[in-house]
Amino acid sequence: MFYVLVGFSFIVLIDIVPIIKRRSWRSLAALLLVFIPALAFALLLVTGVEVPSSLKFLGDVLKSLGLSY
Amino acid sequence: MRIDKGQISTKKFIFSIICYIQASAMLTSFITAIVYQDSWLVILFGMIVCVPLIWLFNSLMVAFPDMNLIQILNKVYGPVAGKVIGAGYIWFFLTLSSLNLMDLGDFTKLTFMDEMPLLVLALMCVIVTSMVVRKGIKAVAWYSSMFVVVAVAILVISILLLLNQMHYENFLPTLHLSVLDYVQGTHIILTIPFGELVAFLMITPNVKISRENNRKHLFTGFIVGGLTILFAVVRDVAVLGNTIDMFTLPSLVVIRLVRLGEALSRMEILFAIVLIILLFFKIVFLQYVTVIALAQLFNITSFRYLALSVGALMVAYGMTLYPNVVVHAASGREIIPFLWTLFEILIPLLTFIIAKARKLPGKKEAR
Repeated sequence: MFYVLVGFSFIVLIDIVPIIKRRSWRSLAALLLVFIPALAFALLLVTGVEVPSSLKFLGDVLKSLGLSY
Repeated sequence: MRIDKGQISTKKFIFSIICYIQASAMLTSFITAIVYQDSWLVILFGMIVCVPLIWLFNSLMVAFPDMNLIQILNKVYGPVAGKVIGAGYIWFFLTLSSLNLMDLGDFTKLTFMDEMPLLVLALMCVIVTSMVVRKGIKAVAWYSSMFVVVAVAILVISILLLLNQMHYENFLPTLHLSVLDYVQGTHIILTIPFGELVAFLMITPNVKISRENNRKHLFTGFIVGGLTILFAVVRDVAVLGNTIDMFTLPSLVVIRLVRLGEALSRMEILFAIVLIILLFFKIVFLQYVTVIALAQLFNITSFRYLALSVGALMVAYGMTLYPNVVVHAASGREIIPFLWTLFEILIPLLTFIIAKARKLPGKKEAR
């Protein structure tokens, strides 16, 4: 958990702080769109929570439609 | 609006395509487990079936020379539907990046660092790839020519050194499987290495290319890349025969068999290094494409700030995709070809048809 938070703090310092200083809100929105899920996935992984696989879910959907070998 | 102002030469463009296809050499096990010694035939079928697809990608590049895929979608489907489909492509590119990153981690664990956690390997890789992506397309494509030359040299040397272990009988019997097996194999080869070239539609504005000569570059890259995969599989089948399906990495096993005295043995290390380099290139390219697609969707030019966060998401998301290599391979054989067909064939085809019907781009926009 500690290392994850340290790693993401680096991203905040390197990328998010300069964007806020430039007041580029559109860039901030784009960055947060990937930063927040990345942080959420990372925290879930380190706390041992099993995250469902999106590809497994889509695979099950395709199988139910008969689209698989 | 061009996100990345950098441009690459046509030569770098061709080498990037070759490098991108060669990086999929590891995934030949998806087909060898289905069509055994006929794998080379399936790759040949796949290359032939892929020609209209490459023509389709080329036609989109020629019709919209100053637009990347996300811009083309916005133009053809309108701002709302275009952005929704564009978001789908961002997911597609991100998933491809994550899958290749996990492949690289698994392969490195298998060959060099069996006790190193996958997470650490993926993180180390992503830190470097993010640094490259921040520099733009020029840095991404810079070493592609060198990577291709090294990969082709290793392929040629390995074929020459394995000539004494190749047997014509290993290709027999031919065409003895059911038609469905060949269809499945061709579908896999069409969607997994070749169809993924759709990612190159994202860098169309960054290639110094004339409208007239555009066609031959994509085809040249595709044919050379496809032929190197074909020759690698022919070599593997000639040495291993129908036992090829027993190995997750047939090329690694085959090159391990090279033995010319004490000096020339354990050559698989060269193959492993080359494959890691090629996979690294593919990850860098796909991460770059993901970043550019995201920047395009939000209409921003400062794409460099997105690289690290996309890299972090690639690692965290990649860890959730498949629990192990076996599940990944099964999914690659049974499900992924159908899923990727949507992004690699159906949407580009529909886009092309609608663009033609709407007479897009208009005369003013065409270069």
